[in-house]
Amino acid sequence: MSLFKDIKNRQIQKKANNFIESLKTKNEKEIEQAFLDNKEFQNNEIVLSYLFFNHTSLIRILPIEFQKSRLNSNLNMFKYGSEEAKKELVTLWMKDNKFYTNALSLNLDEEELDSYLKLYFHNSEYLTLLHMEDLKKTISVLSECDLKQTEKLIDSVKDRFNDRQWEYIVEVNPIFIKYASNEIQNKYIEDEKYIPFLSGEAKDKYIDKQVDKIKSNIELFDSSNIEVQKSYIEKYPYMINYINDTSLINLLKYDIELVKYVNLSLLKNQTDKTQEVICGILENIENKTNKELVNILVSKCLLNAKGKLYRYDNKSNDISYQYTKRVLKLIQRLNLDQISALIMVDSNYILPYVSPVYNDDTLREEKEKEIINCNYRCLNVFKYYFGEELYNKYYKVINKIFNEYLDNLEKYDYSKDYRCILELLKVLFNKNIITKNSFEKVSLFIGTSILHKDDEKQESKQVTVKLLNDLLSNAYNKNIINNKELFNISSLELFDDKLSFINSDLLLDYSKYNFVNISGLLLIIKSDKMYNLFKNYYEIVTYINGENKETLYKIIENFYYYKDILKDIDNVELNNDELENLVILLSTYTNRYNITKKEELDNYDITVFKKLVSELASVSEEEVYKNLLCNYLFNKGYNEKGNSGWLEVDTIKSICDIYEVDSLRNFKSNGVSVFTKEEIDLFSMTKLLFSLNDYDLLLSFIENIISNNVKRNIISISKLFNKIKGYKVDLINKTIVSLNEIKELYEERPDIVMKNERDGVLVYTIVGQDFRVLYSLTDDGINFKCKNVTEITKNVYGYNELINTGSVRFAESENDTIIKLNKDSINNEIAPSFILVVKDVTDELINIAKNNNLVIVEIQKE
Amino acid sequence: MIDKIKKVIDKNKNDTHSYYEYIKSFCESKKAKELFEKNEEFKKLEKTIKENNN
Repeated sequence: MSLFKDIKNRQIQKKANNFIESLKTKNEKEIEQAFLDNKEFQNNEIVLSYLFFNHTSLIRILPIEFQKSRLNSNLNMFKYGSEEAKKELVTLWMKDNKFYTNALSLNLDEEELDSYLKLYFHNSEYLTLLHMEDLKKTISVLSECDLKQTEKLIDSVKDRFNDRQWEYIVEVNPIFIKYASNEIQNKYIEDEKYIPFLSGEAKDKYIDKQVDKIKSNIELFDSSNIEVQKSYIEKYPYMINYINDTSLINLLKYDIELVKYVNLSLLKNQTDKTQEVICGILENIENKTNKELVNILVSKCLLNAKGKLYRYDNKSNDISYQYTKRVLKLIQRLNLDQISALIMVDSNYILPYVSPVYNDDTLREEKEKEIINCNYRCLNVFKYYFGEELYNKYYKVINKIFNEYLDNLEKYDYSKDYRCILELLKVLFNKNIITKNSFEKVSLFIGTSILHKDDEKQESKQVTVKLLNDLLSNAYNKNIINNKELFNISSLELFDDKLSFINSDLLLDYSKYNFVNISGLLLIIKSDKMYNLFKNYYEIVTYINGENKETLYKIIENFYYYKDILKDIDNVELNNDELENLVILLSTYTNRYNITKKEELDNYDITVFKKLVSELASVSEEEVYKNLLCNYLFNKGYNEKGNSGWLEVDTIKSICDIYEVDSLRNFKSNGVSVFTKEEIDLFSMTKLLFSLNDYDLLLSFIENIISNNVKRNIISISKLFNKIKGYKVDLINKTIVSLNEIKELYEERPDIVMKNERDGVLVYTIVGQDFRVLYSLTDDGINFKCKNVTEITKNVYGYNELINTGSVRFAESENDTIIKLNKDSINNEIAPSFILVVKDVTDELINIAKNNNLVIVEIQKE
Repeated sequence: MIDKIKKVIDKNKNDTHSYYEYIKSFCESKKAKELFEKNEEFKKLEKTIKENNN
C-alpha cells in the first residue's frame, strides 16, 4: 500500500472512530438521524460493524449488502434486519435450496414462513429445486394466496418438474394438471376430479354442464371450481354482483378483467366493504409484475394515487377517497422496482409509500422508529428512481423533511394536518421538476415551505406560490401563473401540456376531489400509443355527455375497454350503419360485448338485441330481468346490482323513488320548463313500468319492443337522465317543504298550521296534510331521505334544503333510497332546521330541540 | 371522421322518436292496459300515443 493511501486510510479510520465516539452520548433516535445524515460513513466497515453489534435495532438501516452478509453469518441476528435485506437473503437461500433448513434454525413462525415462501413468486426456477413435502407446502401457500399467479409460476417452469414432483403439485389443487405434459395428464385421465382441468372436449362439456347447473341454482357457484365460476360469469356477466364477497375476491384475483362488470360503488355504501374487497384483491400485489401492478391499480382503478394523505373522515374506511392504514401497509410491501414503476405513472404514489403507520396510542418511541423507517425507505426509493448523482444532492433535503415531521410529530400528523409536510415529496418525486430545475431552486422552495408551513400571512403564501410557479414553469416549459399553494394542488403533473385538450378549469376542479382517477389519466397521456386514441375518445364522449367531471371520470375509467376498437377504426372510413353503431357503442360503458374490430360494428345493434333476448330468456329472477332491461333501454341499472364501475351510482329505481312525475312537470328554470313533454312522458312510463313487481308486465313490454322492431337511441334517452342528474339537487329542493314555507302557511292558513310554545320551544302542528320533506334519522350530515310525511314512521330531523356539494348521490338501503353526501374539506355541513314529529311530542324531544336550537314540526292525521 | 361521428350524435340527440316507440310498446301491451287502466298518468300516455299516431 502506498504511503498516501495508508495515511488516507488512517484518516478515515480516525474520522470513523470520532464519529463512533460522538454516537456514544446519543440516544437511538439521534444515532439513526446522525447515521442517515452522514453519508460518508454509510459504507464504512468500522461504523457499520459498530452499529451492527452495539445497536441491533439499527441494523435495519444499514446498507442491504452489508446486512445480508452479516446476517448470513449471524443467523441469530436475522430478526433485526430490514425486510428488504431479509427477503434478499432468503432468496439467496432459495437459490441453494437451503431455505427450509435455515427456516428451521431461525425458528420462524407459520406466518413468517408463509410470507417468505411467497418470494417463490419471483423465483420460479428455484421452485423446481423443491421436492415432496417442501414442494407441496410451498405450492399450497402460494395457491392459497394467489391461484392465478401460482398457475403462471408453474406454467413458466412446467417442463422442469419430474413425475414425482407433479404428484405433489396436483395433490395441492387438481387445476395444475393442465400444465403437465400429455404423458403425465394421461395418468390422471380416469380420475374424475382431474377431468375439468385436462385439455380436450371432456373438459368443455364438463364446464358447460356445471355452468348450466349454476344457472338453475346460483348457490352452487361458491362450491364450483374457479374455471367453472369464470366461465359462468363470462356467460352471465350481470350475475357478478350477486355472488358473495369471498367468491368475488377470489374470482377477481384470478381474472381482474372481470372487474368491469362489478358495481364498485355498491361496495362503498357498506361500511368497510370496499376495504375488504379491494384489499382482498390486492392481497398478493407485491408479487405481481410491474405491468400487472399498473394494470390492477391504475387501469382498473382499484387504487389510484391520491393527492392528499389527510383523512377527510376518520370514521370512514372508504378507500376510494382516502388512504386507510391497511392500504398504506399494502403499498409499503412493494419493492423499489414496483413502487418506482408506479411513481413513473403518477408521482403521488410516493406519499403512501413513505407515510408512517401507527395508532394514536402507539408509544412515542415506536412512532419515531416508524418515521425513521419511512425516511430510510424514502431515501432508498429516491436513489433507485433518480440514481446516485441526484441522490447525493438531495438526500439531506429528504432527511430535513422527515426530521421536521419527527420534531413536530403530534402537530404534523398527516391524517389530521391538511398542510402535511410530507406533501413536499410531490415536488421531489416529480421527474420534470427535479431534472429541469437546479438543486438550489428546489431546495429553496422546500426550505421556504418548511419555514412558512403554518404561517397564515398572505405574503408568506405568495413567496412559496411564486417559488412553486417558477419550478413548474421550468418543469413544463411554459409560463405557469398559478395562485394555489402546493397543499391545494392535488397533482403537479396536471400542468403538463399534454393535458391541454381538457378544459383547464375542469381539470383543476376535477383534481380537487380525492376520489378521482388522476393516475389513470396520467398513465394514458404518458403513452404515445394511447394518447391520440384517448383524445378522440374524449372528444366523442364529451360531445355526447358534455364536458364535466363525471364524464371525465367515466372516460378515464372506460377508455381501456374501447381502445382496441378505437385503434381499429383510427383513420378508417366507416359506412353509415357502422357510424351509427359506433356511436351507440361509445355512448355505453364497459364495452360489455367486447367489440374490438370494425367488422363487428356492422351488426352491433342486432348483436346486442339478440344477446339481450337470450339473456332475458335465461333469467328467472324479476330483479335481474329489470336490470337487464334497464341497461338495454337506459344504459343504467334498475338497482345497484345492475350498475357497473366506480361512478355509476344512480339507478332507475332511485330516480323513480326520489322524483315524482309532477316534479319534472312543474320544474322551471328562469320561468321556462326544463323538461319537455316527451321527457316527462318517458319518465312517467318508466315509473309505471318499474313501479310494480310484475314479471308479466315486463314480458309484455319486451314482446312489443320485439314486434315493433324498436331501435334504441341511447344518446337521446340518456339526455333525460343526464338532465335529471344535472338538476338533481334543485329538483329535490323545489319539491320539499322548508320551515319558512311552513311558517308562511301558518300566517295564511292558521286552520291548517297551528303554533304553540312548549318550554321555550316553538311547535308547529300541521293537521291532515301531506307534503315532501328532506330528512335524516340522525344529524350526521351524510345520509338523507326525501319522502312524503305520511310515509315517515319515525321522528326525524328536517332540513330546509340540500346543499349542492358535488358529492350528492343516491344509494339503496333496505329497499329504500338514501341521499348521501361525502364529508370532506369542501363540504359545507348541512344543519337540520327542525325536528319532524310523527308520533307524540315528548319532553325528551322538546329537550333535544331546545339543546339544538331547533323548532318542532308535528304532523297530525285528520 | 370525428366530424362525421358528431353529426350522427347530433342527429341522435334530437331524435325523440325512440321515446314514443318505448311508450307505445308499453301502452299497447295488454298487461299494462290491464294494470293501469284507471291511472291518470297512463291515460295521459295513451293520449300522447294516439296524438302521435295521428
